[in-house]
Amino acid sequence: MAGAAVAVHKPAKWVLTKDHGFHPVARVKEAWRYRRLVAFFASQAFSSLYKKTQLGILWVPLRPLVPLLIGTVVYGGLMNIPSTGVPYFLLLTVGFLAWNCFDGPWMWGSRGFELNRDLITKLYFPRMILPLSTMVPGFVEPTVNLAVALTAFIYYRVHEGVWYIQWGPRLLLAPLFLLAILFLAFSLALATSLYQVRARDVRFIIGYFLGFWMYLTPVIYPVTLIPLQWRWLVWFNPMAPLVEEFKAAIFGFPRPPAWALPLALCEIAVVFAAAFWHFHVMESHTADKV
Amino acid sequence: MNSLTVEDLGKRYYLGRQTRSARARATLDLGFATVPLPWGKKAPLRELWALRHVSFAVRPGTILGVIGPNGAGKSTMLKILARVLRPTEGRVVGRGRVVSLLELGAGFNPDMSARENIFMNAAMLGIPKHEVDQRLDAILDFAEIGQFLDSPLRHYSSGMYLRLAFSVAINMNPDILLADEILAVGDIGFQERCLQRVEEEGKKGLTVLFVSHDMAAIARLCHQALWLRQGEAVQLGDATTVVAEYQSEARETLLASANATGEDRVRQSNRFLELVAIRLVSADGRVIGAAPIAEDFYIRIRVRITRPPVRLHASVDMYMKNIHVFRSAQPEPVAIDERGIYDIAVKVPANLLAETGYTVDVHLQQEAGKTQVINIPDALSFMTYGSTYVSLYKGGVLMPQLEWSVTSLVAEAVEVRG
Repeated sequence: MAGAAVAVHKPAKWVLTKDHGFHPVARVKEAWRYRRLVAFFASQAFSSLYKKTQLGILWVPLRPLVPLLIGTVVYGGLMNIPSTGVPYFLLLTVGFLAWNCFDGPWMWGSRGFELNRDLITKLYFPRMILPLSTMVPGFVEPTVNLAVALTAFIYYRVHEGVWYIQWGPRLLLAPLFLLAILFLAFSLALATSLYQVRARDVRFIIGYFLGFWMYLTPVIYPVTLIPLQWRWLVWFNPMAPLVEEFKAAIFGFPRPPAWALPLALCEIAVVFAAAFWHFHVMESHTADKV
Repeated sequence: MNSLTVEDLGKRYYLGRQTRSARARATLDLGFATVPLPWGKKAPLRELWALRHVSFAVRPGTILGVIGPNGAGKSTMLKILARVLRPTEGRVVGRGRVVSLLELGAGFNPDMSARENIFMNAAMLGIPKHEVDQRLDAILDFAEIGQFLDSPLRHYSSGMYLRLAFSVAINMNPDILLADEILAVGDIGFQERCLQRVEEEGKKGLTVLFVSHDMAAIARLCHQALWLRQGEAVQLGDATTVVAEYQSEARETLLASANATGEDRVRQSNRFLELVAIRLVSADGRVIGAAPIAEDFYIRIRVRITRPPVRLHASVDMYMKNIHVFRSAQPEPVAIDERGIYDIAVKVPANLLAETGYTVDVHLQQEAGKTQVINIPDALSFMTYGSTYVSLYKGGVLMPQLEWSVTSLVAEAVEVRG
């Protein structure tokens, strides 16, 4: 069999030069061949998550729950932020569900190279896999948020007799908004992961940036809190229409203006294209500088 | 049709700018001009060409040995071919699947079982799962890991690690195999099997690039050899010829420097330890440049342990010209649990060596967790002096003082007389 194989075997030709040229489709195809690595790197990142903690797996529900409870008390109770007809706790949980699809995955994704520093000087594989797969531990918090939200919805149904969920076909769109948010997180992680491996400061900068960004996005407050004459400005932040559309799909709130969502999607496309290009340019030097 | 063509390949590194203090020292100024101003003239970047103007072509089925002293660019070249590094200049044209063994255990996870690691490693080479399924038996067969298949890799010895790594690589049906010094570990029996297998695959069209300091292995195994020196190709040709040329040059260098240097040439480190110095030390603790034959002396390896715990297994190879005189290793690894500087010394007993020049290769193997090896070829070269056999012909690679005796056997003596 081996002899026959050799006779038929005509190995494909490849060329290595300084610049490999930018072939986005080929890059993505190549990454697809290596897709099994995603599970591997994701599990590696996971095991680094709660390793050497005393509470271990208990952190999984604890970490998203604590800010939810504090937020409900501080923003909903003390600051008395209005919640447009739904309990503030629900508004916050659903808002965080959308937001946590952004901040956790971006933070984790940007650590892709840093966590696998040793490997990238020894083996070749499509580097894109790294930020993609280390995003996975960032899914824990949204998942917990989802569970909390479902529990809360059922609780209010049982105790107050009200479904705060707006049952209808729009509800089916809700996961798509989360996907768009994840995609934005991936795009940003693609760009920042290459800096993170050289200077770990990047992680802290992203942290401040995210804290700021969250207040620009209607997460802990309803968008109606912003005066009407300024509200159009909010929609230029791509996260705002996505989070607001998500909430609208779940609670049946009024939707953002019709142009907001397409604008956000265009912005995400631009961010992705820029990040992908930047990644392509930077990636070639990474093994030299780690 | 060549399986690999390398054209004018070059790789440049920047070593950073000259430091302010270094510039101050160089220019003897008092510091005014050395305050870095954003608009001031920056010191030029110092550059290092790890590889330059290297061109060669290899036909399918060739086993090409890559030889040269440390820092010659061998590993850089392999990393470029393995696509880990991008070249700065030139280009490489190749055909088919490239599998690289740049470091023992790269891409292996010590917490996972052998089976999981095989699939993982294959995934890292971009090989589809069904191909691995087909070859799983062949891989396990060759690696001879038997009942350890499902136990985590951290329980493996370094030999088993090597067998597994090599077996995965060779069974992935590569068209080009890149191996960096990997066969230096592992027992002789397995080395033989590896070499045999490489030869077999070579007949089926596998091209192998094999970096090694083991000249005997290069000469025996490789069809061709490429000799690199300071990033440039010195010679490419028939393996035995190139090896002979390389060795004769190495010998000349040795003789030229043999006037009792006794200095270490290399400073190396890995994530666990840093090699501080390798010295020749007399019985009373002085650093010496040449070894007295009539007295005990020590080869002292000073290491700084940076990340304990480590299990350190040191060994030395003694060469005379190019003859491997002996190897000596610590009987078992020593566990070191504290940071600090440690001396590992091996006593070379009096009246063992001959009066000539020797070179010593030092190997430090770190066996806690992931095995890491530091190899320092030509770590030390020294002359010996003071042979007690003043008036005799002094030959051989060793001239040990053995026990001699003369016994008179009366009966025979009588017979002879009769």
